[in-house]
Amino acid sequence: MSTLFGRRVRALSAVVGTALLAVGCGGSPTPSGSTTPKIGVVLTYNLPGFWGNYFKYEDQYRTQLGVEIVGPKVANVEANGNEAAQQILDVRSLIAQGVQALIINPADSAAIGPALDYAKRKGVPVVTVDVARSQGSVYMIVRADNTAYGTKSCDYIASHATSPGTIAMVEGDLTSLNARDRATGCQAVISQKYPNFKVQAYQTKDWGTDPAVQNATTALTAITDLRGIYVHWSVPEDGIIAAEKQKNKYSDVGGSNHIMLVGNDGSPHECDLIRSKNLDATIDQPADKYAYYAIFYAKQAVAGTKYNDGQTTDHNIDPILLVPRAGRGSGPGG
Amino acid sequence: MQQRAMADKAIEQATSVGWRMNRRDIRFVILKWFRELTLIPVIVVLMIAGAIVNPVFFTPSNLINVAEGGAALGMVVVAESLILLTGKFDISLQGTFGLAPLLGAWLIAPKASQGLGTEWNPWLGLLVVLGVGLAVGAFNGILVVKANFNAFIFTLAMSILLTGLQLGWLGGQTVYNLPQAFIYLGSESWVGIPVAVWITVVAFAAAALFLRYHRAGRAMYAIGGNLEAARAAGIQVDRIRIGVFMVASVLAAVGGLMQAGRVTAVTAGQGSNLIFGVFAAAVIGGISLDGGRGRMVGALTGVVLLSLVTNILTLTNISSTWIDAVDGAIILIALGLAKLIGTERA
Repeated sequence: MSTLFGRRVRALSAVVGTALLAVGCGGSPTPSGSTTPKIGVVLTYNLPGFWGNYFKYEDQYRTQLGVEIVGPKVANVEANGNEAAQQILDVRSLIAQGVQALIINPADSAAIGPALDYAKRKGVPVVTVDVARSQGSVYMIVRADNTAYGTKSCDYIASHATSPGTIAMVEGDLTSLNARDRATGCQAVISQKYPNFKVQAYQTKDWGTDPAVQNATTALTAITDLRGIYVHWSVPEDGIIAAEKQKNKYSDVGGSNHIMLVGNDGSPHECDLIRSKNLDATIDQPADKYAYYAIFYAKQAVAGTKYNDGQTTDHNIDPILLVPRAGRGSGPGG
Repeated sequence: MQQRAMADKAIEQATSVGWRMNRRDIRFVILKWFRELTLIPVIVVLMIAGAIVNPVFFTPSNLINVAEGGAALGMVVVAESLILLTGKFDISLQGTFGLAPLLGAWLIAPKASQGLGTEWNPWLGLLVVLGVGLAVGAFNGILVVKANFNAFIFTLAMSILLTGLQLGWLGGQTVYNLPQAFIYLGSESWVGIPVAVWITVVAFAAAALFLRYHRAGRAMYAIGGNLEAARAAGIQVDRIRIGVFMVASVLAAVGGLMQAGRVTAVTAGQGSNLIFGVFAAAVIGGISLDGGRGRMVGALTGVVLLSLVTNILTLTNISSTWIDAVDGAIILIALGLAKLIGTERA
């Protein structure tokens, strides 16, 4: 990411980030468009809340950027347990419908390979969202720096906790690179910067809400010096707060025995929770920027813009720490 | 009048053989209970393992976690067991478990938290939840029993439909900011024990008593044991079977409400893959997949076992990628043990 392009993109995302901070939680970049390229979209539904938000923004930006969206084709998790195979079929059918570029959220970073190969043979450029591919070629990868999610979240807990102790980390599904990166980021920052703190990790299969709340409930019971809970995504937060209340371990942010709670996503509801002092902080998983850059790069691909060969195709969006009071970022590089 | 007397006699015959033998042979009583409680040794072993793994395991607070973790599952297990006893299946209970609370929540939550914006009274929302359960149950029951669709494939299709509706209705969004009345079941406690646990225990007890003492309850065993004989004896088999489908779906909807209350939100994925655990709990608890055999106390031990496994795995911090394998292995061991002890199971 030390290339010229990488820096330019980061500068761009920094500008977007500032705009985002100005309105607290929400806001969006305003681009312009001219032609109407036809872009096919293939997504998963592994994180319904996030993708739900993504759709809203996709709808907004397709008119702003002036593209025609075909889809989204959504691989149904329930259908046959083989989303990857479904996605390959979806890609073929979209190409048959004459799309000029594809936006894909791969269900599996390796199994998407054949679909990418097929698209390449047909001369259709691909932008992947949120997930990097481990084989096959793509035009651009739009994903956030997930290690920074973990680093910023746990750094915030350790630097704001009243005394040293244990941080319970409720991890998402570790088959996803995103959850693994977040876990690594958190563990690394605590072991490097905070020798007095310990991280106790709890894994959650399939990003399940109820199992995540159960994990947090177990942590509340099992860890005597619990100072904070870091949950990899936002949906379980309400349930975790309810569990704390049920166990009489809840107090508002700033209370004397407060157990800190930091989530990741940056949804409007999380902003409400931060304002009402229920939640300490969150990291913005910018669905709006995902949607924007996915469409932006797909459009660039159709227009034939070349980002020079051999350099990285990662567009890493730097996540932003959202904390109380004006929602100002305080993490490193936020 | 005469028909009813005949039906009573048939029910009596279908269910009382064991009880007459009881009086004669005390060993039979022991065997009968043994049969229902084959999982107790497994549960004891698990508890010892739990205590070794983590000293926190035996604290009251953790045991409450175990109970609470199994409460919502337990409601659906009661529901499925009732249907299994009459010799049918309902896979779509997991769809009802998710869709019913989602629709209720959608009608009462403010627009900002993915509700419709009508912001109905939460009590109306609760009625909607129960209503959806009742409607789905009636639909399943009538088409499976009267129109004679294959229960397995029909309710499988229904399950896919309901889960799809749940996902499509709000485009995968989570409904949150639910009013207190709506989340009461899953978030409050009575004398230190979560309301959900009380309700589930009551549901198990009520189902057990109903099956044991009520005429229709005993008729369910007769129906599951031999449908044609039960019909010939004048039992209103269709009415009872449709009724069971309806009651079961309502129970599943209440289970879904408990889970929604616990996480204080309804997600688009609520209930997905739940049904495997439900069948596992019922079957290792001694409910026969062929109908007509099994008791609620057994099904309850099945739920306790699954919930214990989850809790202990969490306390040991085993990698989540292995949890399914461990779960499966423990279910197999439980089945094997049941076979070894000599009770015939599915």
